[in-house]
Amino acid sequence: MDGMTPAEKVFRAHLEKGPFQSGVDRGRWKLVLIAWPHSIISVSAAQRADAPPEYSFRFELSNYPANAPTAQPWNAIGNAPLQRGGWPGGRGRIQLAFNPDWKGGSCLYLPCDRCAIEGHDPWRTQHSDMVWNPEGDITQYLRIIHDLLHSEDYTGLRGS
Amino acid sequence: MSENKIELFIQGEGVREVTLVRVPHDGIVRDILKSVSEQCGIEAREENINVLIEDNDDEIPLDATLKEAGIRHRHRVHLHRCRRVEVSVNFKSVTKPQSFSTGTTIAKIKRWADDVFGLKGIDATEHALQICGTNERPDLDVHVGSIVQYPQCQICFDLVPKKRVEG
Repeated sequence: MDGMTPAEKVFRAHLEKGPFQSGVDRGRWKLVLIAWPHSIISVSAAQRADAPPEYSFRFELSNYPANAPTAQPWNAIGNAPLQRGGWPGGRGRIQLAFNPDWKGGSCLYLPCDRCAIEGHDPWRTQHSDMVWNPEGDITQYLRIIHDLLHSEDYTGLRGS
Repeated sequence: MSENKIELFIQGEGVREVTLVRVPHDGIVRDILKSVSEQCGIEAREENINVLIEDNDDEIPLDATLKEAGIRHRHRVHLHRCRRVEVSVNFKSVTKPQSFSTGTTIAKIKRWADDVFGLKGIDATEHALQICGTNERPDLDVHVGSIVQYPQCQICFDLVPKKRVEG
């Protein structure tokens, strides 16, 4: 743990705790790697034709958990941003949250995302259940992604 | 899992967050209460406490061995003084009541609510249980007992639509 920032120590400690490990145990998500200030975490998705069983996301975690994370879909094998055709696709909530055209695909359009909440103060009341709570942990963001990827709005790969 | 310990996911009265504790693999159920106190700083009093496995109605004696109780590595255990939780769910001006064991997950209660209110497919996935009078939507993983405090063994939910994030 020597040489780690306090934020990384807290993050790693959260990964060992019940909420994150419970999700791992249920197959909801799993840690791929930590390369501070980033971490790649895979989140399972509902079964859809020709779609992967999970998607990876790279979280930027500077000053965690005081600051909200920001996340983008990630190609964990190629260690690069996921190409737009590989993003989760669908209707309604899905196409709004996973929009590769918004901010160049650098973050998800969700109230729990540090990048997305900027300039969206009304979300703090409209979507208060999805706003990042600094007293919580990374699972509050993961639960929202997991919920989206198991909704009927999710239809599989976005495609080109 | 270390050589002599197993890990258990604990929820219950005063244990609102899923908590991972380690107990001796050859221990008894009472050891779980001791571990919760030692590892979480939460006082799990033995008097009148009920120990359950998640989504199971059968109470487990404190002196049973973990093996006898069928509690194994990474099983989910619930501790509470309430025996049951009286749940009511509101949807479109209709209220439906049901009694659940304290170790029942929100996921199971949600499935029950979807069924009694006739929500299927996209209607079901686009609604969530929200604690009445709050904006709090417990995760599907949460045991209903962990959000009630003895002797108030009851809780009310609204079945609310998940809003699109727009604007």
